[in-house]
Amino acid sequence: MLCNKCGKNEATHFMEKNVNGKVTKLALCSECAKNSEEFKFDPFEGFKNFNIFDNFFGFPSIGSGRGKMLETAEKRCTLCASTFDDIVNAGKVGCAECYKVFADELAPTIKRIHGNRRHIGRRPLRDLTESGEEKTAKEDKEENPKDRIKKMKKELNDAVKSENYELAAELRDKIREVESL
Amino acid sequence: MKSTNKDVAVSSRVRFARNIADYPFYGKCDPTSANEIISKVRDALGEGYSEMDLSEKDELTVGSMVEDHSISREFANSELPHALFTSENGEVKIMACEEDHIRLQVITDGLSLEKAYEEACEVDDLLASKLNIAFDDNLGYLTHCPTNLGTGMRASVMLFLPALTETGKIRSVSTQLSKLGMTIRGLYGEGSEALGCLYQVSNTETLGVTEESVISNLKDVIEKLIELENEARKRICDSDPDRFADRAFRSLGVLKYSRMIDSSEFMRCYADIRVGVSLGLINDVDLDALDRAFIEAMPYTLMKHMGKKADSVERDLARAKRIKELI
Ligand SMILES: [Zn+2]
Ligand SMILES: [Zn+2]
Repeated sequence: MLCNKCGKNEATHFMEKNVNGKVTKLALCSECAKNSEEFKFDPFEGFKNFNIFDNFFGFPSIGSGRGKMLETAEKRCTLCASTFDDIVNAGKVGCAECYKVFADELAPTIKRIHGNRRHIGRRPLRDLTESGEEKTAKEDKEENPKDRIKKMKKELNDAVKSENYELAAELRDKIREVESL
Repeated sequence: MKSTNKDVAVSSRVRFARNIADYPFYGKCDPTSANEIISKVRDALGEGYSEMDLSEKDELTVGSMVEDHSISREFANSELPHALFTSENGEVKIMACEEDHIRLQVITDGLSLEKAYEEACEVDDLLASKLNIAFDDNLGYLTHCPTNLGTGMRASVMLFLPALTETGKIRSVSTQLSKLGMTIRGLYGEGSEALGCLYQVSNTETLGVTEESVISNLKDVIEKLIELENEARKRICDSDPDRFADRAFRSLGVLKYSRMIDSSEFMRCYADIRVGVSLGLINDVDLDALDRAFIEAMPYTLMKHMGKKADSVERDLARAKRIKELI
């Protein structure tokens, strides 16, 4: 999906604006998001970040301010070269090192999923420390929730046609999840 | 022998997600790294495991392995090199280069979560003694998806719940389980009907809990569900003694005399007959054979048996024939 503002770059930031009950959706590239007037609006009042598919990561500026977002955009993981934007877009973390490099940025997401908790379970028997080499990052594609539901419904139909009822059950649950967002 | 409650609890599964600290996760991982990960896992496991290079396998083999839960669908569809290691008794399976570098899973018969957990721990310790497993004191095992942080463990039990389905109790069960950090879902089907009356109950919490407490809570809940299911079966039998029997024998007739049968019809028959066998109404059908037929009747497993890809009409014909051989 292309950015609503410049129409050139891939949109990476998705927002919902609610003015007196009228909801408008906005998809921006990171460049336009930085300069956007709409973003100066109080993020807790008028905007609600809407989740792109099963992406757990909220828009990074919420609760942390614009300065933080700019600084975050520059930072890269030393092992896998992910930026925080990469992680947000993929909905998955790039490597083990990312959890250290982006500890502050990931903290709200981890708290949202798991609450304020620490690990108390098993541990690996041996704790070695070695460093890995740098890897280059790959681009990830965006998809909006409606397209995703449409695609999944088609996949659900295909699954039923091919009698894959286990996959059908998984897709059914995913569709419900996305629809409930 | 200790009862594993197989007439309600079909199988137990424990799965650990692990990663090697020096390599990027799936999505950032290249084929060279993937091959290195596979060979590290191979070396760490040592003797006693057979290896299967999944990238080399044909569609029917891979599809049938997804159907019998040997591998995950994500693993089957992986674009990177990926390999499966299987223990001699077939219970322990290690997927190298799944979504996480290592997905270790143990599937055991009936309700046997502790056994599955112990076996999984043994292999986990072996791997950790040889590999630099990604771990953080606060976050626990570091995983590709943050939902698995902490223990990286999912424990689940596959349950056959025809009476709770019939009485509609399953919905209130679902609400109660979510309060206990667990979830229940229909394993097969496209809508609200759980085909085959098969459900999966699993833990949802991984951070801030110990594996032992997750396993024992899950076990307690499953035992309670088994009790509820058995009570519901008894109540139906008491109030309407011929209901289950009629359905079971009717479905047995369908399997015996039909020439074509599709998956969803078979799954409904399977459920009816399974209740009949569990209640002792049908004596000449073996529960294990019935459960085996359930997998054998699935499209890829069926086509693998046929030795070729087939359309749905050919499959329905072959399915009816195959089921007669097995039951
Ligand atoms: Zn733009
Ligand atoms: Zn990284």
